Amino acid sequence: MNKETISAGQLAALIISTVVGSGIVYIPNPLTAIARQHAWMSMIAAYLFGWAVLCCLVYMHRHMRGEASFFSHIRKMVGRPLAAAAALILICLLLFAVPAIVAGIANFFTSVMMKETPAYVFSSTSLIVCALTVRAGLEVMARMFVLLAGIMLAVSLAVLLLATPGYHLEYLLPLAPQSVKPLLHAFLVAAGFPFGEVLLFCVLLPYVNAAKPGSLVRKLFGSFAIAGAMMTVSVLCTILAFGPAAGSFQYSLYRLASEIQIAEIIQRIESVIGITMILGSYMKATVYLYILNILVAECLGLSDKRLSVFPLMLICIFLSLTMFDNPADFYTQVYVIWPFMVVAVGCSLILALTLATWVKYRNAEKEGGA
Amino acid sequence: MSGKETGQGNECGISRDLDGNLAWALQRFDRCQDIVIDRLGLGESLDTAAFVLYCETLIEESKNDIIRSTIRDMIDIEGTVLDSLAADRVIRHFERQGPAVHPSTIVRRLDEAELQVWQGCIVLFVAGWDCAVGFKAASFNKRQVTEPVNEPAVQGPREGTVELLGTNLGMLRQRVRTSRLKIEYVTAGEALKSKIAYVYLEEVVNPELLAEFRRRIADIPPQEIMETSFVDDWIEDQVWSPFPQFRYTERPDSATAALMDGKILVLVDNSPMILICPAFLVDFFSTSEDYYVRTWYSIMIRQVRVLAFVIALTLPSIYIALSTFHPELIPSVLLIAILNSREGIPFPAFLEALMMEISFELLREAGIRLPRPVGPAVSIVGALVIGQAAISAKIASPIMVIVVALTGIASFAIPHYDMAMALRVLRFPLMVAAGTLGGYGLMLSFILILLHLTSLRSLGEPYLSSLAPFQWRDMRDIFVRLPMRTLLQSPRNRRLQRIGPSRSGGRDKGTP
Amino acid sequence: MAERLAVVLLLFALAAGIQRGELRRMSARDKFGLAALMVPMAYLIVIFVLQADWPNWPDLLRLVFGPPSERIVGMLKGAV
Repeated sequence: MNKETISAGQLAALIISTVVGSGIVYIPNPLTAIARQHAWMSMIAAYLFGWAVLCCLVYMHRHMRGEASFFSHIRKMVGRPLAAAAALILICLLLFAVPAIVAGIANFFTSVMMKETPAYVFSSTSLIVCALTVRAGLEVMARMFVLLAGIMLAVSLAVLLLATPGYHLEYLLPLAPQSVKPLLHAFLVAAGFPFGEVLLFCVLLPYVNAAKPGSLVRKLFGSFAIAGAMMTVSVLCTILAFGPAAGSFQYSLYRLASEIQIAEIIQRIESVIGITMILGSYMKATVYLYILNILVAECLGLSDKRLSVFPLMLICIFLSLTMFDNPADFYTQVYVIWPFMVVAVGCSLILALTLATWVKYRNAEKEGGA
Repeated sequence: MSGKETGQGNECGISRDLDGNLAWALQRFDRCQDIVIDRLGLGESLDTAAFVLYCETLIEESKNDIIRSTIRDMIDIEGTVLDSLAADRVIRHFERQGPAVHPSTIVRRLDEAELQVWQGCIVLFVAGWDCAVGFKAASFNKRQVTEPVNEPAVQGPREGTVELLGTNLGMLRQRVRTSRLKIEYVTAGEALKSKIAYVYLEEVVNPELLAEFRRRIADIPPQEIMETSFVDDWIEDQVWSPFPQFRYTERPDSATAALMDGKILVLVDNSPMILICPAFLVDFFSTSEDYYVRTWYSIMIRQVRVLAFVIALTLPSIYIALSTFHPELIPSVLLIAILNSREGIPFPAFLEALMMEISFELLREAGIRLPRPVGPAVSIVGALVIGQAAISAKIASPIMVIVVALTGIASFAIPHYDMAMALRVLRFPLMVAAGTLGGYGLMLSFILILLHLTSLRSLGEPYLSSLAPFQWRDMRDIFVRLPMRTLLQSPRNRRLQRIGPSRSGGRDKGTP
Repeated sequence: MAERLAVVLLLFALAAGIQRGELRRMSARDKFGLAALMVPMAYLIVIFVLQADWPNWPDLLRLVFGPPSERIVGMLKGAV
């Protein structure tokens, strides 16, 4: 793939599709299980954490213009060995994220909608479509996801709105939490999945061709705000609809959709949410697979970046089918280990790279001034 | 007599020896018994030999006396007596290109003379002259200009293109009265020597697009081009895509509108179809009639077409997915009705749908091939009888017949035949996906179709232009049609305004 | 097991079929890079086909990140 460019608006659509993506179906359940009716506060705090990560990315982007890739940029910052180590960390994160997303799709369908179909059918078909999209290129991907993200948001909002008759405002009470620990725990989960994951977009920044410098900042933070609002609203609606029982439903939005009953015509539309969830997970897996492919292809020095797409697809398929032994294992890995990896390792890496960028360019300015 | 000199080089050049030229003609046109070779005498005592060569099936009967009237004209001009009109005088007359009544062309090579014969000219060879002169006398029996069969209109012009390239180009010239309308010719093929014309409006068409088009036209190998669709096959981006990358029309007004939009038209002699390139997905939802009717009606019709597109593509597969995998999505009362109607059907919904769709496709194809008096009656009766018989035999349920009928009607509602065919083709894989994986399979199929459409290009431009990348301004004229006074405030193509200062800011339509 | 093996072969055939042109044009470096990717792939395929309980990628992650993450979660567990 030659270096393609996308606009700031298209990057914004990618951010919405990855942050909202599968999170809107998965996240309300563990958060409400941990923090109960205060989960929405943790969401807002996690959104602010993600916002801080985004600030680091925007700062680095200013110094990445003209670079062929993220890898070449950090090689200039910290040298080849450290750059390879940084790339390896990101690859490790992605080699967990992509199979986990796909395993999530497979779990959903095999547990809820199509119980007799083996999981490999869902894992392989969805990753094949992801791989084909990655091979089509970033520009095609971005153009597609502008449309699909809009559809996904519209359907999710429609479900949240249609479920309004079943909301009880009293489920939010009491507003003040007794202890801050559960809120911190929920914050950690949400900061790792999905808000902290925005760190992975550092790899895509060299491909953004913002017409005006201010437009990138505006659109990035605007889209992140939309995503944050959407996630917070979905958690809120789950609490309003199910109250203390919110933490016991595995796919909250799916369950919420099944509660909708309007005039005997609009009923049992949870399958629609299931289908929408595929869209979100597909978009998220595709973006992450694309980032993973760039990093691996650069580390291996491949002449054609498309060569590594299918091998990575196959690795991710077999990982998704062998990574998780049971639902409890899935929960532990996705909601305990993964948030720690993202926050402690991934975000620390981004912070370190931001500092390195700041030091380098501050020294360069000083030398220039002197 | 005006003449136009053509021909270069001396290979197979016309000889001054008339007998040599005659021998060539006899040999070349051996067993072409509609070729006439008439010997003449010119000059004093008619002793200057000459002969005319023409194809009697191609020329107009009344133009047989062209030679006689030409000679008479020469006498008037040269001021000589018929008896004293010598060969050298004839030759001098043509070579100095005296004023002409009959359009003529001077050729220097035998293969050019042959081409003149096949283009319906009468070619005159004169002894002692190493050239020949061809007089246009063609009369091709062609169809009259009538309303196009495939694009009828309730309101608006009813002219349609015909098989004559000149007539079609004339219809365009009548509508676009500016020298910015450029027409360029290309010839293709060894035997057919098809004349291809491409037409564009200068300062409206995107120069990069035009350059890309020229490059692709130049790359066409020396193949026989029988019809406009042959050009399509050679210059399109993805031959294997089911979606048409260019549009066709037989209406000069649609072609003119396309020119105003910066498109390039391709016309081929002996074909009435005008190729419009590039074509985007959104172009297949509109017709020229949309701009002749009232706004609300136009908006409604556009919405109906979008609905028809969705129904034609997805209805059978949605029915299969819902009835097999997601019955809970169907309202209870309707579900009971469907279950009642499907009672006793031995086949699963997927097989039932497949059989009915294939039967419908067979009926449709058969209806096209049958003679006109019989065709419509047979296809309608056939559909009714087969549908009723299938229900009585419990092969198909009434609901399935309705689904198939609605799908067929929806595909007829799509104004462009090529797009309707694409949907017919894609319906079957969607049915397979729905039958195997239900709603999940359907969603994956939609994603794959969207992926294909997003990566598809028409003459290098994204096929989903206006949708992806999304352009708000273009939404005025895609799924709705705003009143003309609003549409024309910002012209169809901004390049129309490029000559003077621009009226308003904003991005060029072509920018992603 | 036969079913899982068939799935593996089908996926390989699909990947190879789509990429056959690129695979033919590969340079030596590209071949080395792809071979490097084949190693973990082969390992995972064996685990998948045989349903073997061999050490996997999450086990490594759990080994490295498990203790600190579980400790943090343990500290943060409490009543709302």
